Amino acid sequence: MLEAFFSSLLQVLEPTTFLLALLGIALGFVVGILPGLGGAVTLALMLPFVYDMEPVQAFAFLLGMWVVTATTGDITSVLLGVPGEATSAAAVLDGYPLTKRGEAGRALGAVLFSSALGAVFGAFVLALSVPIVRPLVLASGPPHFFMLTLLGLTFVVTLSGGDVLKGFLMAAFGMLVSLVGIDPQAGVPRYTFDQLYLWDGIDLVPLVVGLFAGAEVLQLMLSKTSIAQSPPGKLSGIGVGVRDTLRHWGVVVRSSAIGAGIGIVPGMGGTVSQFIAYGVAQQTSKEPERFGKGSIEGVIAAGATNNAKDAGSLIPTVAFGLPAGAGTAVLLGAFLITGLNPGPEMLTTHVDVTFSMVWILVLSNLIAVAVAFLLLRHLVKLTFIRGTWLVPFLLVLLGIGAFTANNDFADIFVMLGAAVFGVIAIHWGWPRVPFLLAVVLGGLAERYLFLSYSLDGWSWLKDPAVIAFAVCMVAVVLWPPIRARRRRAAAARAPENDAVRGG
Amino acid sequence: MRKPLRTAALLLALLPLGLTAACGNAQVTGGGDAPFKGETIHFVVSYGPGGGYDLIARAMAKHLEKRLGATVVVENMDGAGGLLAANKVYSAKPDGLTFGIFSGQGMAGSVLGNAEGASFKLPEFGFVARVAADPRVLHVQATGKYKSIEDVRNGKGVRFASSGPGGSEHIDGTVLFPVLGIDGKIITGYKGSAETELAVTSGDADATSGTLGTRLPPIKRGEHRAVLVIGEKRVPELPGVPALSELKLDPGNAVLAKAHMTMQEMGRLVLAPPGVPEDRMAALRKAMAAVCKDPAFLSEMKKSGQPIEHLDGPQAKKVAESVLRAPAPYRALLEKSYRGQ
Repeated sequence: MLEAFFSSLLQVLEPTTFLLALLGIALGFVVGILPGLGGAVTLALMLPFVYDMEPVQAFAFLLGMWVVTATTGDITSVLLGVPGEATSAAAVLDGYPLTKRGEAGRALGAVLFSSALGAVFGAFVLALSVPIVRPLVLASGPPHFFMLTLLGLTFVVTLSGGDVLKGFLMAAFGMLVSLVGIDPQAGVPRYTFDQLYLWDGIDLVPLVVGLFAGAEVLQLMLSKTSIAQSPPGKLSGIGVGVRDTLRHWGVVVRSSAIGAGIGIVPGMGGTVSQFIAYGVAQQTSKEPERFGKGSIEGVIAAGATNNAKDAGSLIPTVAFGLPAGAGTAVLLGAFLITGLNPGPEMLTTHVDVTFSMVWILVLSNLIAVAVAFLLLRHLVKLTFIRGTWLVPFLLVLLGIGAFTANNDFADIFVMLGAAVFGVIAIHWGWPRVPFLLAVVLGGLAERYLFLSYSLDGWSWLKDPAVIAFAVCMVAVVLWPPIRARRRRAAAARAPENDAVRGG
Repeated sequence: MRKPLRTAALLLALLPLGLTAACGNAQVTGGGDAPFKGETIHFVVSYGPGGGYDLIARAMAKHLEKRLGATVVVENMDGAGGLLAANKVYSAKPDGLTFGIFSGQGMAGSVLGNAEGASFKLPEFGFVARVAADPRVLHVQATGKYKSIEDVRNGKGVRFASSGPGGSEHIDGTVLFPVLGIDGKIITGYKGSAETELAVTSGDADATSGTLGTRLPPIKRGEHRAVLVIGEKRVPELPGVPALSELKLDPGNAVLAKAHMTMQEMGRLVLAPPGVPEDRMAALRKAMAAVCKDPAFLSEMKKSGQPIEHLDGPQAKKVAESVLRAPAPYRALLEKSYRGQ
C-alpha cells in the first residue's frame, strides 16, 4: 500500500498530468476569487473535456480546480467581506473586520496558511481512511447522522453572538425555512405556494450568497467609501498572519478535524462545517469575546476547516459513490466518464487513483497558496477602491453566480430576498449564522429522524454512539455558562488584571 | 526587414479568401441539417450535474454540434423530480432550439398518478427520440436472509429502501409489494440511488431496486444479489435471475405487472416543445439517430456505463401512448405512490 502511495505521486508529477493540474489550479484560482461563481458549476462545464483523459489526469484537472476554489474563495471573503464561495462565509466574520482595521495582510496570511495546513491534514485523513472507511461507514446509520445534525444545531448557543435568545429565534425561523419543499415521507408539498421551484426547498447557494455577500454589498453601496478605512500599511502583516497560525496550531488541528469529519456526512458539507469549526474555536479560545470583531483565531478556523472538508467529502464519494455535496456530485460524473466505479475497487485495485487524489489535494493547495502570497500585494489594493466602483461589478457576479447554479431566475430572487434579510439582521443585531445552520441541518435532521424511526422504531436510542453524541451535546450547551462563571470568579479574584485585558 | 512584411501583407490579404472557402466547405457538408446552422441550442437536463442524464446530454451535445453546425449549451434544471424542467421545455418557444432529456417513467408516472405539478400533456411533446432503456432490477443484500424472489415474497416485514414518493424505486415498491404479495414496508427518506444502495449493503434495509447499469457493480462484487428483472425478458448480464413476466400471478395482478413492464419501456426521452416545425423536428431526429449510432459516442457511453438504446421519436411516442392507456387499478397504485403511501 505504501508503495502505491508513492508511485501515485509519480503519476501526478507526470508532465501532462501536472500541466493539466496547473491548468485546473489556474481556473480554480480565478473562479474562487470571483464571488458568486461556484466551483460545482465550473466543474460541470469542464466535464466534457475529460472524456479523453486518463483517470489520474482527469482528477488532477478537476480536483485541482475544485479544491483551489475553496482556498482562494477565502481571499475575497477577507478582502471584500463577500464570500468568494458559499463555503467561505465564515472567513468573512473575522477576516473582514481585520481588513477594515487595515490588517488585511495579517488576515490573509493566516487564512491562506491555515488553508494549506488544513488541506494537508485533510489529505492525510483521506489517505489513512482508505483501509477503514468502508467498515466505518457501514457500521454507522441514520441514527448517528441524526445525532450529528442535532450536535451541529446545539452550536446555535455558541454562534448567537452573545444573545442566545435571539440566536434561538433565528434558528427557529431557519427550521421553518428548512420545512419548505416536498415532505420526504408523504410527498406532500409544504409551504410551496403552488411554485414548483420550491419543491426541493430553498437552494443553499443563493441563500448563502445573499445572506453573506449580498448584505455586505448593499452596505458597501451605502457607505460610499473604500473598504479599508485605515491607510494601506506595508502589508508586512502576512508574516504575522503566518506566525499567528503556527501559534494557534491547536485551532488548526481541531478545525481541520471538524472539516474532515463533517465533510464525510452527505448533505452537511462545507456550509455547516465552517461555522461549527468557528464555534468550537470560539468556545476553546481564551478570548471568545473578540470573535466577530476581528479575532485571528476565527480566521484560522475558517481557513483550516474549509480545505480539510474537501478531503473529507471525497471519502464517501470514493468509497461508496455517495456525493457529499454539489461539487462531489460532479466529480462522481468524472469517475463514470473515465470508466471507474466508486466503491471497494477504489480502495484496492484502483487505490493508486485514490492516493493520487491525496497528492493532488496537497500539491494544488500548496501551489495556489504560494501563488496567492505572490499576488497578495495587488489583491489588497482592491480594498482601497471606492465602494461605489466595486458594487456594480460585484452585483453582476453575484447575479450570475446565483443563476448559473440551477439556471433558474427564481434563484436570483432568493438571493435578493436573503440579502434584504441579511441587511435587516445586521442592522438590528440578529445573528445570521444560527439561521443558516438551522436551514441546512433542519431538513437533514428531519430526514434522518424519520429514517431512524421507520427502520428500527425507538430502539436506536440505546445505541452507545447515540448516547455519546448526546453527552457531547450537553457539554456544548453547558460549557459557555460554566466558563463564564469561572471567568467571573477569576475576575473577582483579580479585578485589576482583567481590566487590563478588557482594554 | 522588407520581405517578412510583404509576406505578412500577402497572408493578410489571403485570409478572407481562405475563410470564405472554409465556410463554403462547411455549408456543403452541413447539407440536410442546415436549419440549425449557426444557432444556439439549449439542451435542458432535468437533473443536476454529474448524474447519468447529465453525462449522456453533455456527451451528446458535443456530437450534436458537429452534426447540426450549431452551438449546443447544456443547462441543468434540477427540481421536482424533473417536472420543473419538463414544464419549462413544454412551454418553450417551439423553434427546435430548446429540448431536454427526461425520465420517461417519471413523466408518465406523474401523469398516471395524478401528481401535482405536471402542467404538460405528455403525447403533445415533440418526441425527438428515446435514447436509453436500461432495465430495472430488484435486489437484496447478498449475505442476507433472502436468496430469491420467492424468499422475498414469503418474507415478513421486508424493508424496501426508497428515495421518496415519485421516485422510480418508490413506484417499483408500491406496485410490486401488492402485486407480488410481499409483506413489509417502504422506507423513504434516502437521497438518491447511491443511498438506497448503501442502505442495502449495510443491511439497514432488506431490498431496493435500481437500473441494471448502476446496480451491476455491487452485484458483481458479491455485495448485492439481484432477485428479479422488472421486465419482460431476462438480461444477458444476469442469466440466472428471473424476469417479472415469468412469475406466477393471478390474472388481476398479472395485468398490473404487465402495465408496469410497459412503463419500463419509456426509458430516457429527448423531448422538444409541442409545435416545432416538421422540417426542424426531422433534422433533430435525424441528427439524434446519427449520434446514437456514432461509434465515438457509443464508446464514450460504454466507458461511462451508460447503455444507449435508440428508438426514433414517432415510435417512442407510441410507447408513451400505450403506457398512458394503463388500467385503472394501476393508476390507483401510482396515485398511492405519489401520495407517499
